[in-house]
Amino acid sequence: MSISESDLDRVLKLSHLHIPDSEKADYVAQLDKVLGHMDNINQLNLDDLEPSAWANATATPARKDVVVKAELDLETNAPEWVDHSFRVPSILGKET
Amino acid sequence: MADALSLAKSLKNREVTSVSLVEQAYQAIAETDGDIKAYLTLTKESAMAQAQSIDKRLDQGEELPLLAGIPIGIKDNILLKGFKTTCASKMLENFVAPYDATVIEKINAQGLIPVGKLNMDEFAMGSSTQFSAFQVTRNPRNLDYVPGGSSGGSAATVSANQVPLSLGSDTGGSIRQPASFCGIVGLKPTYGRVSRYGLVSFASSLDQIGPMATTVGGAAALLNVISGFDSKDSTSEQVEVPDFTQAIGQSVSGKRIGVPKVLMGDAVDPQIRKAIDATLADLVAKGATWEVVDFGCMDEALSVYYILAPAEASSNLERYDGVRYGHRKPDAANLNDMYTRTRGEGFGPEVKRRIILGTYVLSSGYYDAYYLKAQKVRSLVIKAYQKAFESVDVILSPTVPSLPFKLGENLEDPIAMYLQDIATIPANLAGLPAISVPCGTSSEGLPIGVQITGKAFDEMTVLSVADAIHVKETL
Repeated sequence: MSISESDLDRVLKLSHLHIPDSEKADYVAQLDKVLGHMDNINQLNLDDLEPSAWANATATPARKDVVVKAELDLETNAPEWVDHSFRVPSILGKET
Repeated sequence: MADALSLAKSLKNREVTSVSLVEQAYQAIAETDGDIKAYLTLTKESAMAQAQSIDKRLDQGEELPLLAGIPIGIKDNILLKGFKTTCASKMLENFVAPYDATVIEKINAQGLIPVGKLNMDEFAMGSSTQFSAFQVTRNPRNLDYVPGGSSGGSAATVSANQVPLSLGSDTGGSIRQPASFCGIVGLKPTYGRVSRYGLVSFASSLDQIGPMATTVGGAAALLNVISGFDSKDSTSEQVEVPDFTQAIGQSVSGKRIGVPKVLMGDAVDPQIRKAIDATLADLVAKGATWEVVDFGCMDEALSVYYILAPAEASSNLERYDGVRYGHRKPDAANLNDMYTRTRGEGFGPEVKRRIILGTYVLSSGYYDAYYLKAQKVRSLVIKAYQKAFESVDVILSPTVPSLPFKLGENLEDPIAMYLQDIATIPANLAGLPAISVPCGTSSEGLPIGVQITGKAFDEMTVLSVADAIHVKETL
């Protein structure tokens, strides 16, 4: 399976990632090569196999639902902090 | 600097002080890190205060844990409260950790002294530490060569004798491959053995924190410190934590060693094959037996990893959107513009490649062809190990099929870089413990590592075989 520049544009939109147009051809070429290598999994017979999301399929331990005060110091790392809130650009704003 | 256990003994006997060890570490960093560039941040003030406190307690006759007072380096994707945790990314260039990772709480409780944060490939994605956004770490054995990655700083600082111990993280070989390149010991514990709380997530079903050290004994002692169930990490396991240092000096007589044929073939550098053959012969001379094990899906395991890890990463890294922390593109036109340009500016090329790849394999129309199929091959890898461990105790292979490469190489060829991980990835996919120990040196003087993989939670056997192998004169 190969990847085209329109595939790349679709994925960039899904992943909220900006890449300059001048770099797109390089990304397409590299990803095409990587995906080509991955095609070797199609040679395997996987009919009787269940998918594994984790190596150790043990039950997830539960813990009591108790509120623990966390000092996350949000202000220190916030790009813009106003009135105890994160400030962001407007959703509509200008056209890009 | 001597190995951690010798230093611990000297400290206990009051032949040295913790302050002198920490000063010695900073002196070594001052002398050598201008060339090596292992550290991104130093924590000198707090380290000296901690060392003084340890010395005071020892002066008062207090019995302290084994590694109390020993300096340690921390990979820069592990949260150390009050200090920057950058993941070697512009995205987190100014991020200050608001809390300690569980492993940091544990090393603090045991009196180990963090001296600084170590360089790495950005968000742990890479095999050479050349994908750091800030600096390129060099291999202390030969400054023209890479130290491996992604825990390149963690390996280099130990190899350069700046500190005797460090913490790394391993998602597809990121502890073992740099340990092999730098001639030190690096252990990836069983998935679930060590809490991941406070480790910046890359691929959550594969990531594991582990010890890096000058000796197997040092790695075992550090594994004692960081292991154990943590209610803050639902994937950590409630299993017994033995004293791993008891594995040191044990006989390997009667141990059954499996050797995957595919990892001893033509794809392996002849010098590495020779070193591995000699290692195997030495183990047989010590009473072990060996057999070839069938491991047919090694090539496919590499493909599986580079589908699953980017898929998980694309999801985990979606949190870096410029809203709550990290880099933000100023003067964005609107919210979506801020997201996309923040991420475009903040992430480097390898991280972008993996986000694109991961998003692609999870997207509509490709999920079944790549992601679901890869999860099925992961089951195949797990079954292959289960079958192998019916007849052997450990599996032995080269850690890396090729010798360390020079700075600047493989940067534009992702496949060549990804092939570095072919021998280390399967243990991550199956969640098994695996260690790299030095077993020889190439004609160019570059270290060669051998990898020992064990059954889940059987780090004791892995460590005992590794200790029998470790060529003590390598450091």
